[in-house]
Amino acid sequence: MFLLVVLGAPAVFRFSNPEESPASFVGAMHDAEPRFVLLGNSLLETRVDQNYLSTLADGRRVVSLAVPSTESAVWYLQLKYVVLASDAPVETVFIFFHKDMITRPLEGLDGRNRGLIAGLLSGDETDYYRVIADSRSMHQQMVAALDGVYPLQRWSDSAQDGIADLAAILLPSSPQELSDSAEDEFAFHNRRESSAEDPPVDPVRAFEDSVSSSFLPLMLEIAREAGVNLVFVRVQERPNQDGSVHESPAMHEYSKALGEYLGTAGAGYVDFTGNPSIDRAMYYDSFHIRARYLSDYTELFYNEIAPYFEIEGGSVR
Amino acid sequence: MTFQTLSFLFLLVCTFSLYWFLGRRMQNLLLLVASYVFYGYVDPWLAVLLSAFSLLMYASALGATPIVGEPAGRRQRMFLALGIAVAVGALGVFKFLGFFVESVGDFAEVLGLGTFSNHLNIILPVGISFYTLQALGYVIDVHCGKTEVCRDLLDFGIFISFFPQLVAGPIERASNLLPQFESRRRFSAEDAREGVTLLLWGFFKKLVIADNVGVIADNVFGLESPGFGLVWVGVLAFGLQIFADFSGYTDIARGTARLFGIKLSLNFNHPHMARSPVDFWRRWHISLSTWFRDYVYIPLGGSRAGRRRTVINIMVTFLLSGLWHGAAWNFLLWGAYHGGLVVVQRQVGSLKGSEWRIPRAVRLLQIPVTFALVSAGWILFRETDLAHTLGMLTASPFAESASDYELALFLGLQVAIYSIPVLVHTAVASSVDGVRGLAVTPWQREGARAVFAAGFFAAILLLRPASGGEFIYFQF
Repeated sequence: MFLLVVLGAPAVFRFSNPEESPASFVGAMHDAEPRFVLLGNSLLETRVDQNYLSTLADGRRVVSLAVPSTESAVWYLQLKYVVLASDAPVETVFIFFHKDMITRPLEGLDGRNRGLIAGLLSGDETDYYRVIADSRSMHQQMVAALDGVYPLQRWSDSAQDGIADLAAILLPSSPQELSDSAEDEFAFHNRRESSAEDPPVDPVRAFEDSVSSSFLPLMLEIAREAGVNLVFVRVQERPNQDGSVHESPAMHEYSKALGEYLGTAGAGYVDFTGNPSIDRAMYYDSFHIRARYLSDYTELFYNEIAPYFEIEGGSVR
Repeated sequence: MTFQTLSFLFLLVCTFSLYWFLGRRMQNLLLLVASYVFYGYVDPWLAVLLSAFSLLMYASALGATPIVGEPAGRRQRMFLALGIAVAVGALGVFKFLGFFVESVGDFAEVLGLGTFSNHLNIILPVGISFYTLQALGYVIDVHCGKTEVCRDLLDFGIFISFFPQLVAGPIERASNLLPQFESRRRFSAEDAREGVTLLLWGFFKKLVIADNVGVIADNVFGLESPGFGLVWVGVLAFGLQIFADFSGYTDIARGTARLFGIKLSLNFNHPHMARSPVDFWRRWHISLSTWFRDYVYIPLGGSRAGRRRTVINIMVTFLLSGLWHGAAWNFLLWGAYHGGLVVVQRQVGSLKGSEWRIPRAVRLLQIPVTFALVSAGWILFRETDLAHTLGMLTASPFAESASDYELALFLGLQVAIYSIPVLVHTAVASSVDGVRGLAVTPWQREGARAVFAAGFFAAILLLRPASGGEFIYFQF
């Protein structure tokens, strides 16, 4: 009885986050009728301002469907059920990722996106489940099962933000201003070199070994059938102190193989690694860009991808 | 293997499922196997080391046991010395040799004797600081006749390796733990409920409190030159983090052990309510402070050998306690700082007569003053770079702008919010005696406990950060 109450009660709470629901994406597509769509996670969210990008591109309509903490499983489902299923005249979809995440199909192991995924999935999804099953360890499958029992976790980000908002009540500045101030204070350029070291990452799998068990071939296939261009944007990791690129030879090989594969498949590929315009000071952490550089990065991004917007030369610098 | 992994949950569920169908010896055998799986999960070499250490300490204790009715002879003293050598030697090699060689090399370099390659790269086996002290205390107790020698290798093996407390304590005494392994355990629903509640409270403290305020502490201590306000917010955050982290670990250990019918010692007793440095050490990491009291301070003569000798004994004990935490100068300084606080407290106390009563106003200030003194010490504990320690301690309050203070206040208020559950727990615990007089039915009590436990579980799901840190005391 005791265990039933303890383990059962938290499973009762089932919230949904309206800001990141499939309906909100469909609504955004319907309202904007975009020609260009951006997909990705917080790396996209901290890099590109959709309105400013639209302005730079002579008013061409752009929509960003970024969802923090998502990976390629969600982007595949967004592409299939939101972007390609809409009536909008979509020409090109840009998909943002870092390192080799485009061929790592995990769907966010902490369950925060489980509701979103459940909302996006509809009908028979044999391909989706095949890729997920191929790429998950038993441990990850157990975590996913637990996440299914306790959807309360989907509000984790909001709950943590709530603590910060509560702390800000007594202070004159707004929670957003205080968060920006904290972000500035703890940015990389204020940190000691020893504490600014990057966390260890999983070893890179060769592209050839990972592509078949990823969503990448499925994305290319459905886009080709719909006649929509795909452009994959690989964002750059924070450069080293001396400005050099932080990338292993294995990762370099991966990127090269990915570019060749996408070229053969008729998709675009922009790798920002080594881009000299990206300064170390722009970074909040290893990959995220500080809020104050959102416009700068949007311009930088626009300059790089202008050809995909069918604009000659498009430099705004 | 660590507590916050699914592997641990799997091991716990499997072991628990079998445990209560077995007899006493098979229960111990199952716990021993589970403990070695737990310890050798990442690196089987650790299990080999643990078994070799256990065998040597088992033999030492057998040999160090005096013959009944006779004082300990030369042979017994030799075996005692062997036990001490094995335990201290294991600590010395794995924990301090690298530090010693590095320090000698640095010193030689300062003296201009040349540059040396002085990094030995010795890997510290997890938990060695804890199980060596536990085993050493046992051998000494056996030799002194304070506890019965354990002749059953299986019982002794599980006493040393019991997985809930293997890697970060509590450091148990043989007189508490061994009799529990030597007697038959029967399933009790009360033990199971208490165990689950402790587990959830421990995980709540670790995953919700420690991991969230740890982000603030890590950010502040990671700055090149934090300002005055941020330094002290970082110190507060770290103070809360280390308490929630370590006491959380202890509660998980106690809760897990309770599921197997084993009661481990209390390791924390609301240390933030301490009224003096001495009182703090009666409440913080109790199993370590009592170990050092009984096996270092008292054998050195304690407070019976005159005032000067007492001061030396206190300082030696605290320096060793500091060094036990890690082979680094900052831990030595941290030990010296606390030793100094205790010495000053004793000196001030001795100036007053035994008749002197502490005025009410002073009594009210005792808790915040002790809290501030202990908090200041956390800088020495957390900061490994002495130049940065100095920079933090000398940060000027006048060099800050209003927005700097607002940011510090913003972060400080977040720390305060995360500390509320700890304060509520203290308030509830201190008022339990008053509540006991009320007519509360067992159903009401169990209902309240179930609601609290479910609340902790829900809070863990809701408020744990996406990526949490390892337990701080695992590094010791």
